[in-house]
Amino acid sequence: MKNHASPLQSTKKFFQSGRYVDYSFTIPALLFIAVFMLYPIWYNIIMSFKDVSVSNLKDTSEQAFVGLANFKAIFADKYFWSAFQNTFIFVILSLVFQFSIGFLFALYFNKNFKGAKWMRAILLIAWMNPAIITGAIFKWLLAGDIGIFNYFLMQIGLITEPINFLASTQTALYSVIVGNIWIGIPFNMIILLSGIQGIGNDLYESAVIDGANSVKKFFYITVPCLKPTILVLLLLGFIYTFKVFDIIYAMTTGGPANSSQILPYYAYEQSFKLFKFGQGAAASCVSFVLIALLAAVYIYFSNKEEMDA
Amino acid sequence: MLKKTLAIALAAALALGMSACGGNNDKDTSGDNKGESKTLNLWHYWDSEGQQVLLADMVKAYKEDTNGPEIKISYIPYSEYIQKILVTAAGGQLPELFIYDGNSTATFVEADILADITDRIEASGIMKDTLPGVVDEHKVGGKLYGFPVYANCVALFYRTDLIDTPPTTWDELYETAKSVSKDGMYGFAMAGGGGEDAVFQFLPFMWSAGEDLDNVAAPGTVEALDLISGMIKEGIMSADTVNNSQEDTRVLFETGRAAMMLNGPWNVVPLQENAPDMEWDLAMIPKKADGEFASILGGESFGIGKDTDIDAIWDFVEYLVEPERYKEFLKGLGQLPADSVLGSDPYYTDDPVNKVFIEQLKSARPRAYGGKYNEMSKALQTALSSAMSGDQSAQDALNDAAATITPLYEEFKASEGASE
Repeated sequence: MKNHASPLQSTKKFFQSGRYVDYSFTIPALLFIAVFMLYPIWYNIIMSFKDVSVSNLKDTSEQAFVGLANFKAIFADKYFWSAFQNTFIFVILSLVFQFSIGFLFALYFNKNFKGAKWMRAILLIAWMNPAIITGAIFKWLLAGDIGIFNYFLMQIGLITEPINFLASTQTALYSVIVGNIWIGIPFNMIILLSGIQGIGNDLYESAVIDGANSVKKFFYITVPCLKPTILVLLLLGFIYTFKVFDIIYAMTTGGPANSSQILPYYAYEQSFKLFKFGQGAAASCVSFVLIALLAAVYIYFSNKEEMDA
Repeated sequence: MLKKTLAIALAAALALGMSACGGNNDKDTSGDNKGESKTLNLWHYWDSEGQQVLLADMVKAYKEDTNGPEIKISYIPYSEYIQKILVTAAGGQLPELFIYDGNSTATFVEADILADITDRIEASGIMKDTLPGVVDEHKVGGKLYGFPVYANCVALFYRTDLIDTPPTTWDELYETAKSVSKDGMYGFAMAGGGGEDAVFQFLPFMWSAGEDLDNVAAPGTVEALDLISGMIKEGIMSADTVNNSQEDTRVLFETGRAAMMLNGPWNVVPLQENAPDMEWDLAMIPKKADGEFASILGGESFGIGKDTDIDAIWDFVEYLVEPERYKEFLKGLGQLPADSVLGSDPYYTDDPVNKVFIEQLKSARPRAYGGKYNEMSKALQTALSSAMSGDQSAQDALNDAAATITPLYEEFKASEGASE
């Protein structure tokens, strides 16, 4: 007798043991993923190599393959590159501040003082609010003439003339980032807080006996114990931030002069404003590749983590 | 064994259920055969209840009066409207009749969505008195692809308690705006935000100077943009203009923070409701000293889906545009007729607000620049906001825009010449 079964035998065993029943339960989920995720991604990739515009959208047989022409066209567009650059500024600044402010809040609410529970719940409103509403509120807060933020700065004498945060190409992107940071803080807080609460108290107690101060406790216990949480959080944060659209739409519509556009907004505008569907798809593909790369890096590091552990 | 079979059956049922959801749209095709039960479709994006009721009543009256076919009205929010129509077109089930932004005619023709109805319109005479600009808006390559529901345009609103005589030229606009501008009060407001609003309100200035999109860096256009960005720089206009839509502009005016503004008739009712005591009047958009008055044509149109049952729906169209009935329909909508005969009705000419818009409408021009107008508009939006935010001079910004717009304009002209 051979040591291991031939493919035919293992297939037979698979059916005899009834394991196929277990696997059949995944069919609905697999179908869902295939229809609503894989197919659109596939279709988008195909479209990015085709000439798809308003004149041939109806008749798919007229959509000729054009190789890399769509990519060449967007790479030749200076607003693609400014959107590309803005995407990284947007994502990095958003993540850094959302994460660090969220972390501070998490440490604060971990103290479990009186009223901490309902204050935490109120903070979550920022995360639950539709971004289009948050965007409208920030548009008013930051307005040059009626904005309360300018009023405040002028009252305390920091500035003499109002700053037109959203109306200047120098500041519009950063204003949108501020709005997006505000949205993301509660999410970071809640994830980190649940991570912190999962750390056993005995660790801190023995550290105190060994004479650790609170700074040391933070860097030698809290942060290392939170490492898996932080990794997941940063990855999710990256993906959420990378595809932000509504807050930009509400605050600046990508302007002035395209200065606050990021890649998803650029792709939207190419497809649905200018009806250059092929080029819009190409821009989406660039986003897709960037996110896929990051996901690969993430998987590499989390595997390494498991090996080390 | 029974358990196993049941489990698989359930999983399969779930999966099938999902695919059935996805395929729901295909069911309508079975009703394509011509029969008595044939249902026609009418799509719109009107979100005011009053307008929806008018449309529903019209369809109901048609069915009762003529015993005609059933017409199913579907509301689709404006934000998804064009996407929905484009996607439906790809699936081959366009509605027989739909309302659309008249300015999109050329784009929709390029997308092969609108049926050529030149012969029917000419035979029925429904556009014989339509304003020439409105006719042009619906014409692509000499053929007609739609007809107007109503028309609108932009005019100058001014506060009569602050301004005695409204400005008629650009110089007067500047002087008047400057004289009334003070702390907490801008002299003048207009839309400048990203999107079509900014271009919609800027083109009248360009046309008044006798310029066109063939060269947006021409002196008259540059002068117009210099005038506006100059007023922003001096604080006569809000620095946030670059972020303001036409509705934001109305809010500036109705809250008493602007003495003059550019806006259209659709903002009259909200203005009257929100600021009932404000004293204001209307005037033509100021023109360049040696130029002509100009405004821009807006409004909505009816289009007929390509390869649908045109014969059946045309019967409803002729019922709808029957002059007496149509007049009442327009009054109910609170919109201006795109028609010189209907427009001469005392209902409009004796009304202090409507009469100015009717007059301004005569100088309103369509954005009939072919299917790639959106690309031209986008380039111009970028230039306008670049100059208004002080990032670039008007000349530099418009030079950049012209580099994009001029070739598109020439392409459009060539295609017009080829098809005529």
